[in-house]
Amino acid sequence: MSPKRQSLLPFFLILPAVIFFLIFFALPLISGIQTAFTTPEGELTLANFEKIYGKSFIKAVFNTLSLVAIIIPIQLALALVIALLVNTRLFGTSKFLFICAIPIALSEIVAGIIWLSIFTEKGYLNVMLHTLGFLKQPTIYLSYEKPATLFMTIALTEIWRATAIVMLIILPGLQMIHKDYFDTADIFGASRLQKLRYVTLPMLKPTIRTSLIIRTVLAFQMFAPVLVLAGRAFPVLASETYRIQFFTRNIHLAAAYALIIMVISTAFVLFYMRSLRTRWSA
Amino acid sequence: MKKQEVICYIAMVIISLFVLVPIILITIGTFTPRLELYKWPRGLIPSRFTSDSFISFAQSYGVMNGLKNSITVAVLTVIFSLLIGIPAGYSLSRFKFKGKSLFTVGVLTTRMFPIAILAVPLVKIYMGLGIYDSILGVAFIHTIFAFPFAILISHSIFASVPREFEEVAMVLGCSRLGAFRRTTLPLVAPGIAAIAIFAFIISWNEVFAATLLTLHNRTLPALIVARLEATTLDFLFASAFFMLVPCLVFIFIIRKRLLRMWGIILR
Amino acid sequence: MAEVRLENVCKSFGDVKAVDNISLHVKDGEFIVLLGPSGCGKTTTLRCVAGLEHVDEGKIFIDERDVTNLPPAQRGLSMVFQSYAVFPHMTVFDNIAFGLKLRKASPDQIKERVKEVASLVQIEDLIDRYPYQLSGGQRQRVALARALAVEPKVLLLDEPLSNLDAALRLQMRAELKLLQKKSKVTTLYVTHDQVEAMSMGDRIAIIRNGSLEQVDTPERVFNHPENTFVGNFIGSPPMNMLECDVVEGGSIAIGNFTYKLPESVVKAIRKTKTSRVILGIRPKNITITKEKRKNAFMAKIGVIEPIGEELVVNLTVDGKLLRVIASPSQDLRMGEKVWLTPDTRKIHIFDKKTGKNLL
Repeated sequence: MSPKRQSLLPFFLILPAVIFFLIFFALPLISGIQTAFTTPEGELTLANFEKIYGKSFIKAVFNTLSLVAIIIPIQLALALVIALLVNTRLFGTSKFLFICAIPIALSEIVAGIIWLSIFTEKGYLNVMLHTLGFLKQPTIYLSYEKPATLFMTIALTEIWRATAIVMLIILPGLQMIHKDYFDTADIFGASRLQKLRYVTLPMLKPTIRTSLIIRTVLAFQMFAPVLVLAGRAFPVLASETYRIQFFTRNIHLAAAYALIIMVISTAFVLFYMRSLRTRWSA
Repeated sequence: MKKQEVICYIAMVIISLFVLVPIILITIGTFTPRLELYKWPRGLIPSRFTSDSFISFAQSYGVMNGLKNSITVAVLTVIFSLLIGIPAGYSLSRFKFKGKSLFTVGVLTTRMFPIAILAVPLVKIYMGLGIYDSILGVAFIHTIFAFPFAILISHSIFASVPREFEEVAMVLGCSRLGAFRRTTLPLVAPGIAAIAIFAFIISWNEVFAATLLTLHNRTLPALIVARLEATTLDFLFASAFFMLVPCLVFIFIIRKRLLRMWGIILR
Repeated sequence: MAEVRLENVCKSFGDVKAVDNISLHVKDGEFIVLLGPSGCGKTTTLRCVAGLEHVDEGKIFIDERDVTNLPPAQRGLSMVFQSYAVFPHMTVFDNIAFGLKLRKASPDQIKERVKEVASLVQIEDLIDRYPYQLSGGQRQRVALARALAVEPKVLLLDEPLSNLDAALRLQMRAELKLLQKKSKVTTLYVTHDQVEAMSMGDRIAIIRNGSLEQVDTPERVFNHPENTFVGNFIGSPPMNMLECDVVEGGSIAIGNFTYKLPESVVKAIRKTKTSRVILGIRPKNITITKEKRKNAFMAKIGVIEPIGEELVVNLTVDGKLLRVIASPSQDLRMGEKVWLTPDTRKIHIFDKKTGKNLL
């Protein structure tokens, strides 16, 4: 190979990725912004945002943000517990790890249906309560009259499904912390909790930040569990985007919605980046 | 056993049950006679196990076609992701070049956006390109989900194979490509297989983009979403079980690599 | 059997000049060692010869054939890496046979040749094993056998012994040298270990910051360093370097003392008209006495390090550190003031400005 061609080889190898990135990531991003700010006739406008702004929009924003606010701290805590358990390296922890990782392979929609089978009127929750004698007639959980219950079932489904993602990011981060730090803490007489507080958590900060970013971004595209469990009774941003695209067939409104999701989620990412900065690591 | 160990084991059992019980329940539900699902009172264990729901799901209109679409889209996603991801991952692991860090940052930013949402503007672009409601169109957006993973994971897999292997081979008489084929490739093959499985699962499971970008050529998840409002529990249970099984098999195959792969993504 | 010639070879990585205008003529059958501190460009030089790095400027010849633009495969050489790079997915046999297969040798030829080189490096019993079943030293032999199997014109060795433990390193050093003498293959050997270089090389090429400092036999490099860098780098503990002013009457000033130089040295200094020089003297070539001697200077003893049969005595002269090797039979104490007498025949005088040896 001639020297000239050899020096071009690395660029040649990333070229497909770059082209693909431009066409299917950058282009839709730009086109989405453009579509959101234009009318079907191509005129510049803010009307799309005015049109989607209303009761259901506020509800969707509120619902999405409350889900994020509830799900993510719980998932983070649960993931940390699982990771710490795995890291005890007791007998059986590798099987435990595998079990905890299973949901990562499951579709949103499968998770939704699985929990539907539990919370539906004649579902397994009522069946079990009945078998144990707590209940005569089935309770209805999934009804638009009970937004709080809907909220909890959706949150539970998401916690069940996506804690694995957080855990699988946290665990390698935890394992990267060198044992010497803990030994040092031991020598100074730190208790378990003190070690968690002063060694583990501070050193995990960059990892936690990454997991928060990935998890929050995913939460903004959460869609199927909501649709399966609540239908239209519990609008979130992604399901509303879908509804507008399919039922109004107005791509400009949908694009405006999509843009809002992008903006909110980017705001979250930036917030995490700033607030969880560490001075000793990138 | 120490008290702390007992507490750890209790916690592990509780968490394991929390993960496993719902999966067992959906399995029971799938093989429960259809009418019993609507009966009250009913027991946890059905009067008999039957594959009726499963068979009627498989036979209902559009399902086989959806399955075919899902598999085709997933296979295309695997092929595209590997074709795009492996050369890029190799390049990152073997060369220093201008713009390398910019490229890496670009790859990493994809995970800072809810990519599925890009399906909305893509509807318009696809209509222009004539690939709206097509298998290819869905495969493209699924590739956008999967290829950053493919790049990052293959990058680290290649980095774990010393470049000296290729260099020795080149000194001893191989071309660059020949050296790659004879030394690095056999060593990374299992890792590449894991990437392929990962890409397959991502595509097989994806709902939002597939739903938005198709009308008639629906993948299974998109088909289920479209039927949600007018369907029966047995159809849903069977569909969930059907979607679940291949994923369980696949994740079992790559279980040893799971941790390493995700560890890589975090960096 | 081949000569290797580098002509004004340059190679940069970004702003870093890894190889800066190196010209070197390696004779047929010669064992030449490229020696230098880490990051000096010795490995890059070797990789340029191998064709793994493309030179920016200059030319490389193997046996009068310009190989500058040829890929590694067509240069007819072999290489052993620091990490050995023994293929983990191949048996020892397949590893050794690798190059032969690429050369389309017949299975019988391959078998025979593999057996031959395997017995040469004494691994004939390991032929069916996989690398993970081998120790570091055995892997090293496999890498060597693989390199020798193709009967290369030139053998390139990049710190091949640095991953071995000390005892094995000593053994392999001798074996490797013997092997090279027997096979008479032209060899370029990279190391940062000066003892290794001294004991193995026919000639040593000392490299610093990408440039050749001196190319000479081990004896010449040790006894006639061309500049302060070589003087300092070769020998352990390193050569003492004292900065001195030249004073009238063929002497130099060391602190408050004047040290009289022999006439030949004085002449050499005069020729350059320099007024400030560096006196270089090896720790072995200084005698410590308690009573004053002629042409001696005073020093204060600091830390004394016993290293078995000898002592390394750290002394300060005029605020500068000096090391002298002394015998334990001398009753030396820390803090004591003693007299130092350099062996006048063994001193080196370097020009302060250029660092060049004036003798």
